[in-house]
Parts: sequence; C-alpha cells; structure tokens
Amino acid sequence: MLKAYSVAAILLFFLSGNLQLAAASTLVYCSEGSPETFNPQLSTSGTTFDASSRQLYNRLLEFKPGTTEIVPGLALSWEISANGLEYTFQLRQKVRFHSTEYFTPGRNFNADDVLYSFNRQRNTADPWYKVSGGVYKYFNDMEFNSLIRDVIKLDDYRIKFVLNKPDSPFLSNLAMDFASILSKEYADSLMQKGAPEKLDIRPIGTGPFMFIKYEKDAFIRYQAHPGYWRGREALDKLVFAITVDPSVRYARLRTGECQVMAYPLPTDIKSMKKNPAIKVAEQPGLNTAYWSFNLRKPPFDQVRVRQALNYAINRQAILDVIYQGTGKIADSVIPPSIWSWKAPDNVYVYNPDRAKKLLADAGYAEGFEIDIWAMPVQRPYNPNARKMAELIQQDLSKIGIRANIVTYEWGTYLKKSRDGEHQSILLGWTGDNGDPDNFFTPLLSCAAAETGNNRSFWCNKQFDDLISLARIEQDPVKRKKLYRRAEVIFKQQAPWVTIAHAVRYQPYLKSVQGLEIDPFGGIYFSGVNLKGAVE
Amino acid sequence: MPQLLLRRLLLIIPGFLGITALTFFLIRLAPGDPILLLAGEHGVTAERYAELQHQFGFDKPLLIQFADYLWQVLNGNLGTSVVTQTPVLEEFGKLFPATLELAVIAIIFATIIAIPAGVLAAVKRNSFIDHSITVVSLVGYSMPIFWWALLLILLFSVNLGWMPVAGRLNFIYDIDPVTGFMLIDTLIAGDQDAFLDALHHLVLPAIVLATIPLAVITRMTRSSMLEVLKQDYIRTARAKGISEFSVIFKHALRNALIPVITVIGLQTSILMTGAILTETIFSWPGIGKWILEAVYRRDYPVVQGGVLLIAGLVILVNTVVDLLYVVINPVLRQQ
Amino acid sequence: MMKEIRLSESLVTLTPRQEVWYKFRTNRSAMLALIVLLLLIAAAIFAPLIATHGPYEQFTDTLLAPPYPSAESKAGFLLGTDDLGRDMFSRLLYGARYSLFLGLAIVAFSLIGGVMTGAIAGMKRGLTETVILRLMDIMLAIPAILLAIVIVAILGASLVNAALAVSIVLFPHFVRLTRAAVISEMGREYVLASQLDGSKGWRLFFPTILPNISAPLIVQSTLSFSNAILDIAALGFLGLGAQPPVPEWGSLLSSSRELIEVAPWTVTLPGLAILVTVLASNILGDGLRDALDPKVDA
Repeated sequence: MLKAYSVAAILLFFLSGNLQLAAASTLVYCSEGSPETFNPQLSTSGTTFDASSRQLYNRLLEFKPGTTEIVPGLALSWEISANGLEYTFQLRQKVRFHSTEYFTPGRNFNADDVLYSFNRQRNTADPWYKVSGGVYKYFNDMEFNSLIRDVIKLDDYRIKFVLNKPDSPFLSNLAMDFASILSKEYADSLMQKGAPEKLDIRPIGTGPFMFIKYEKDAFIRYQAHPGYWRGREALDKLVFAITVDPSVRYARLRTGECQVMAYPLPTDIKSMKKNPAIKVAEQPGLNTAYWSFNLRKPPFDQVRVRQALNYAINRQAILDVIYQGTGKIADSVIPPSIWSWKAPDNVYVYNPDRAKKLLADAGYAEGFEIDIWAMPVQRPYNPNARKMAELIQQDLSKIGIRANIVTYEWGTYLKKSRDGEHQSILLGWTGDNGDPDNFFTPLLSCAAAETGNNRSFWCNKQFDDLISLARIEQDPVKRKKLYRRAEVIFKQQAPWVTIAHAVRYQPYLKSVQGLEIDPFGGIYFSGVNLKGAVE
Repeated sequence: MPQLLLRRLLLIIPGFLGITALTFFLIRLAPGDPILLLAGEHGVTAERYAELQHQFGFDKPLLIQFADYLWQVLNGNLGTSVVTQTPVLEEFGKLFPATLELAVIAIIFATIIAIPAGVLAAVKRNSFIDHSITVVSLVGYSMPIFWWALLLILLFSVNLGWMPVAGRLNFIYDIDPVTGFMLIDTLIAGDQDAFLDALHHLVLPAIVLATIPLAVITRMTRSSMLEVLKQDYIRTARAKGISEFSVIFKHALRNALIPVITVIGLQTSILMTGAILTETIFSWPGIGKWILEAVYRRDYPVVQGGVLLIAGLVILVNTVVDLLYVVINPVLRQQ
Repeated sequence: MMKEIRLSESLVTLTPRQEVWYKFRTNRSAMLALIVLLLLIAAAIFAPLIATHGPYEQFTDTLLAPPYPSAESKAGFLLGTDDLGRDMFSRLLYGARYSLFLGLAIVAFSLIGGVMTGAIAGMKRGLTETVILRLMDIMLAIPAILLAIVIVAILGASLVNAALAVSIVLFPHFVRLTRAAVISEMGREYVLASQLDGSKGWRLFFPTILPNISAPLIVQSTLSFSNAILDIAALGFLGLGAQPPVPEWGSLLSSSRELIEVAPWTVTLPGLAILVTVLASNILGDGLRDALDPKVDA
C-alpha cells in the first residue's frame, strides 16, 4: 500500500510540473464559441468574423488597428464623383491568395475577385447567390442591395461602384467584415467540382493567416500566410481554442495554455489585474445592450406598456451587479464613443409607481405574464444575460408582471428571434464601423424589421425617414441634429429599454506584444508577436 | 453451453430492433417539423415542401417510414447532422476514441484501487479500515459527479494550479489523429512532451469518471469476498496450513472476482452517463459532450443516431459480459 | 453476547414489523441517516418559517458576501449571498423543497406505474411478459441521464418535464423487481389458497401478493429516491431541468459555476446539500435492506 502511495506521489509530482511550452511562435487564443461559417458574408456574428474576416481576408478599405480610422486595404486609392454617386477604386497589385492543401492559386488578386464578392451578395441571379442558404443578412441590413446600383470592372485593377443615392457611411461600410474579398478563381474551381458550399467551410483569402483545420467546439488552426502582401506575420501559427465557459478561459490563460482570451467575466477582472503575468487592456466599448419588445405581440403593441417597462427597470442595479460597476447606463441607442452622441434630454428614471400607473392606464392594472429571452452566451455588451434577466424579473414582479426566462443555444436564439418568435429579448450590438448609422439602420429601420434584425419589428415612418435623411446628409452637424430628432421619437415610442454601454476588456499574457484592443469588439492577430516564450 | 451462448446472442436482435424503434418514435414526438428544421434559415415554399416531404418519405405511413429507416440503419446510414452536414456515423467515429480513451483509463484506475480496497475491507471485516472503506465508497456512490468535478477543479486547477481545466491536449501541439487515442497518437508522433501533456489532461476527468465505478466495484469486491471467505474450501485451505496471503489471493480472490468482473463490465452504462457530465465540464471532445450539444442545438438526426449508437454499444458490451460470465463461471460452464 | 440473547428473546414476542424496526434501530448509521432525512424534510416543509429571507429577494448592496465565519460576512446572511445578493441559506432551504418533494413524487410515480406493469407481467406471463420485459431491457440499455436528456429535449426543458423524464428512467427497475417478486410468490400456498377462493387479477394482487413483496419495493424506492435527486440535479446542472431563478440545487450549481473562483461557497454549498441528501437516503436504503432481508449479513 505504502509503495502504491509513493508511486502515485511521484507520478503526481511528475505530472504537475510546469510543462515547457514548445513552439515559440504559436499563439493560442481562447475564443468564446464556434463560428457558424468561415464566410463573413453569411454572418452577423462577431465570433464568426473573428475566426474568418479578421484573420483570413482583406477588404478594399480597412480600419487602422485599434482605431475607427479608414486606411487603404486591397484598394490603393479611390475617387468619388462630384454627385457622390460613383466611387472608383484603384486596386493593389501582386496580392497573393492563400496556397493550401486544398487550393493552389493560379493568379493574383484582381478586379474579378471584387466583382465576385459583391455580386454573390447582391445579384439574385448569380449562381453563387443561393449557395449555403443565400441569406446575406449584413449586406441587406446595411441596405447595400438598394444602395448599390452597379459594380463595374473598368480593367483588371480598377473597379467602380455606382450608387442609387449618396451615402455618407459608404466608405466605412466597405471596411466591414461582410465586404471581405474572396477568391473568384477558387470559387470557380469549386463550382466546377460541384461542391460550392466548400467555399464557406474551407476558406481561401488574401489575409495575414491561412486556414489549416477546424474542429467544431474544439479548435481552429491557422498558419502565417507566407506571401502576405503586408509582409509575413511574426507568428508562425495561430490557434483558436474554443472555450465556451469564461471561467475556463481564464483558467487556461492563467496556466498559460492560451495567451489571449476573449470576453472575461466582470467578476474576474479584479483578480486578473492582480496577476503579475496578465495584462488587462481596456477601452470604452462601442456597444449598447438593450431589452427589445416584439411589437407584433401584445401587450407590447401598446406604447404605454413599453414606457411603463422603461420606468420599471432599475438600471443602476443592473450596472452594479452585472457589469460590476464598470460601463455606463445607456440612455441612447448609440454609445458615447460615437461622434454624434450627446447626452439626451429625455431619459427614463427608475420609477415603479409611474410604471404601475402607466400600466393601469393601458388597462393592465392586474399585470400580465411575459417571456424574457436571455442569451446563453456572454457578449461584449452583456456579460451575463441570464442573470440580467433575473434582475429584470425581480423588478417586474414589483409592478405585477410575471416574467419567465427563456433561453436557447446561441444560433437557435438568433434565428428564432429573427423570425419573431419572442415576446421580448435581451440583445445588444457592437458597432463595426464607428458611424452612428451602423446602429440605427441595422437595428431599428423598417428594412431591418423585414430581415428581422430589428427584433422589435418596430417600423416608424417618421423615425425611418429621419435616419434615411441622416444617411444621405454629408454635413456632420446636420446629421447629428437629424439623429437627435430620431432619438426623441425612439425614446417616446420605447421599442427598447436601453440598458448599458459596457467597457471592453482584453486580457492577455504579458509575453504577447503588439495586440491592439479593437474598438469594434473584435480581435486581429496581424502584427502580434510573442516574446520570452523560448525554452 | 453453446445453446446458452447462442440464445444470448440471438437476444441482441430484438434489443437492437427495439432501440431503433424507440429512438425513431421518440424523435417523431419532438415538436417542430423536421422539414422546416432541415430547411433552416428561411423556410420553404409549399411546392418545395411537398417535394421534400416526398423525398424524405414523410408522406408515407409511419410504419413504412420506420421500415425505411431501419433499412438505412442496417446499411450504416444514420443520417446527417443538420448543423454540420456531416454523417452522424462519421462524427461518432471521430469523437468516440476520445470517450473510449477516457473511459478505459477511468475503469483501469477504478479497478486498480477498488479491488485491493474491497479485499482489504473484507479481510479486516468490521475493523476501522473496513468502516472507512465502506464510508468512502458510500460517499463515492452518492456523489453528484458534476459537483465533484468542480471541487477538483477548484482545488487542483484554481488554487494549486497543477492541473489543466479542460481539453485533451495543449493547443500548441498539433498531433495527427491516427488512432484517435491521444496517448497513442502522441507516441506515434514521437512527441514526449505532448504525451505527458495528454496524460496530464487525463488526470482530473479520469478521476471524476472513475468515482462511481470505483465505489460500486469496491462494494462488490467486499461482499463477494466475504461470501467466498465463508466457503468450506477456504476453511479447508486454512486448515491445511496454507499461508493467509495465499488463501486470500490464490484461493479466495480468484473466485470472488467472477461477479466483480461482471460488475466491471456492466459499468458501460454508468460510464456513458458519467461521460456526458464529465466531458461537458472538462470540455472533453467526446460523444457525451457531442450528444448533449446536439440536444441543445435541436440537431435531431445526431440525437437519434447518437442514442442508437450508444445504446447499441451498451447492449453489445452487456452481452459480451454475459457471455464472459458464462465462460469463466465454472458452475455455468458445466451445464 | 448479551445483545444476541436479548435479540432472540424478543423475537419470540415481536411482530414481523416490530422485528424489522428493532433490527433497523440497532443500525446506528441508518438511524442517523433517517434523522438527517427527516430533518431535511422538516426544513423543506417549514422553509418559509426558517428562511431568513425570500429565496428570490435580491440585496444588490450585499453581493457575494461570504458565509460565516469570515471577516467579510454580512449580518443576516448565514451562508453568504450569491452574485445577485440573494441569501444562500434561504435559497438552499427552498431548494430542498424542489429536490425532496420532486424526489418523492418521482418515486411515487414510477413505483405505482412500475408495480402495476410488473404485476401484469408477472401474473399474465406469456407474450405480455416478454414484450414488457424486452421493452424494459431496451429502456435500461440507454444510459439513465441520456434517456432523461432525450425525453427533456422532446418535451422541452422545465422542472416538471425533467421530473417526468426521471420517473420514466426509474420505472423499469420497479417493473423488473415486481415481476420477479410476483413470479416467486405465485406458487406459494397463501396465493393458491386465495386463488381457490376465487381471487384473481388485481383482487389477488393488491390485498394478497403486494403486502408480501413490499420489502424489496421499499428498499428499491429508497434507492430510487437518491437516484431521482441526483438525476434531477444533473438535469438542472445541464440547464435542462429547473430554470433560473428557481433555487433547485442542480440549477443553483449551474448558475454559480462561473463564480467558483471568486465565491466558492456558491458552488460548494448546493453540491454539499445534494451529497448529504443522497448519501442519507443511500445509507437508509442499505439499512432497510439489512433489516428487511434476513439473508443478507454484511
């Protein structure tokens, strides 16, 4: 028996010793979930963009790392016609596509690839349109289908976009993930083989890393793209270790199993900051968390009910408990870090008595029963939706409303709510181009009520006209005024309870260098390197 | 005896048939139209719906549908995952080695500890050691293993930092899945660090998964041993002056082990139950986690196929154990 | 020596029931387990009287207060609070209601269903018996939690559905047990006598056979009770049972899993509650078996 013990003790000692990390230039990132696809055109989810567009692809225009400033990407330069309707891009030459086990490119990037990438999403007659479901949510939510009249190839390295109306956020929008450039040559070869959907599973791009292997719910492996046009990356290999549980992500960071982690829990931030090996970068997030009411379902068709719920929720308590005091109470659709933001005049202040009175006026003195959908996952704007729902449930019970908390697996959650199956839903949004329009149009326009991204299905003509006008307007001062008028209507109609703007935290080991915290909530590993990890 | 074996083997057939029927009809009870589920994001037109209904055979009577399904299953076609579009059998094949590896390590671990502990408790009957072993095995038997796993993580990973919290292997190692068994694959790759890392990752999940079998086997060994020690031939052996060690290990244990081996074999079902919880907590990429996630995602073909495969496996193992029992049991062998 | 003599003396005068009680009472651990369980049941019944706070009451200024004794403990929160500032003691107490009463309900449900089905199989024999037995074999071939998960997946995740699923899972054990017991009793004289009197079917089963096969059923019920509690907790933990904010022990564990580092008590306490309850009912089950079954001595 004693012998067995000592053997076990030796074994334990042996096993518990810190294992040396082998390959020095492999970076492991503990990510929060599995991507739905590797084609950013097909998704609106940040998880998918992190795994695809942000490592594998380039866009015509890109954001300068860590900022909302636009810099040339695959486009070298551009010209805008005087009427604001024509954009002509000069394309970069000698840009190489990934050469992998499953595809060897025969030519460099050119205008055909741009044409292909946009036509797949806008041209319903294009054979590619229907592949993998044929739903281009982002493209439609940004109203690109009605905005772009035509995309014309002038020659191999010049391409022209013709718009139906002037559009001030157009250039910023081209820097967004769904506007990533895919390889037409690869697409053609797959179409020939009769396996077009492979394009969205085994991606080929021009970006800093190339795709190696993906196992759902386990990992994604990438390798540096040796022919990257901005120069080969310092990292040889990049691994996304898919780790859904945030406390497990933190544990993995601490044991050095990963060097960078996604979305930390607010409750863990304090202990992370105390850890000498970990750096926690932070930045006011470009996000808004909200509770949206489905206006297609009673009693939310009644404006007084919606206003009542706005008065009923103690958002300060939510901020204290869920966000651990970090972040800000949201009184506006857009976060303060967007240029057009100004403290609104009409805000809802916690007032259960007033809520009760409004409910009584609406004929619901006895209260009612509702479902609150709460996301199963942590998002940059909401660290714990289920707990948030429990707080809301408690507030509602004080005004006689019984709330049931409902949740689904993340993909199902998004889909079902897009189809309008919910009564009310907790969700949020992270801006992806820094323009105010990027909040108003995809979330609250009538067009978005069609696609379902407007989870309230709130379509207010007056509001919609204002945000459309603001979109065409080129003068920032006038734009700002238009958005303010829109916000007043939004507040009065109350399709949402705006909850909070979260601070964004990015914890990583101090051995990681060159990692810029992305204001849009994503992560880019281009330009990152590891030091001191050598044996 | 051959007749007995044959009868036992033949019993597998109604078992498989029944499992297939059960999973088939259970899933048919699930809410939601399978065509709409398969169509995914944007639904289908009425024409396309009818077409699909015909294509999947949903317009046929339920019994015919079942016969079709059975035929498919017999041909090795268990359907395709709605989420990943991969055949269910292929996904199972890819993930099963991870579960098997964990389960095998766990059961070996449990057996190595449980048999000596059970013997010790029986030999020192009613002593302090016996009582301690009995209490510990009762606690183990009553353990909510999902909580046990969290406690171990709290102690060994969070506080002491000795053990990894999740996964099978540190992600810096990229090992080709030749056999699917990480311990073997790392050796094939000749990567000693990776091998140790894989072993390291196995420790906590294996302890958790072994907990209940450990308790069950200990209890079984103890009572079986007590039973045997009362037998006449043991008394005879002792009377002959054979050393106590020899009596216990050569004579008693050999006979006491027969029911114990059966019990070990019958742990498959318990191990599968444990695997669902253990794999979920430790993010172990095996079939337990796979099937649970399929439930969350409403991926019914995976749920249906997965349950069928797991239940089939349990039936198979139980049959093998039964047969083994017949083979090794001298009483039955003579019949 | 003294004890044994007294035992045999008393046996002369004791009814069988008293004898069982006598044997059981001498088993100290089983008695302790019984007391613990009775205390737990009492705590569950009188939860509103004992609890210091409401189970859903949120004190947003006392988040994650540790249990006593600790420097950071907050007055009035004996076992600390969770991340929404709810009193752990009160939540655990109300949680006992879910675990214990659901456990009882589940056992009652599968006991009644299982005994009736098993009786039919045991008395009818023939094809009915074979079909029932095969069906039970099939259900037993699917690992318990997996079968429960699939049933919940089909019915939808809720506490009631989880309870239903668990009782379906436990059901075959009762069927097989009852069938075997009925068959062994069928040939007995008292049964034959009753049959000669013209009793058959349920008239024969309930008054005549059932009382004589109750011993193994009682033992099985106690063991099923502990399984039911474990399975309900596991389903709650997996998010397929009780939904938050219901303080069922398994779902308490599941929602505080991520707090394991900052507030370990929110994880350790609900698990401990489950363990104690399950352990007590297992010990009670063992004790009952020893008391009821003269053959077993261990």
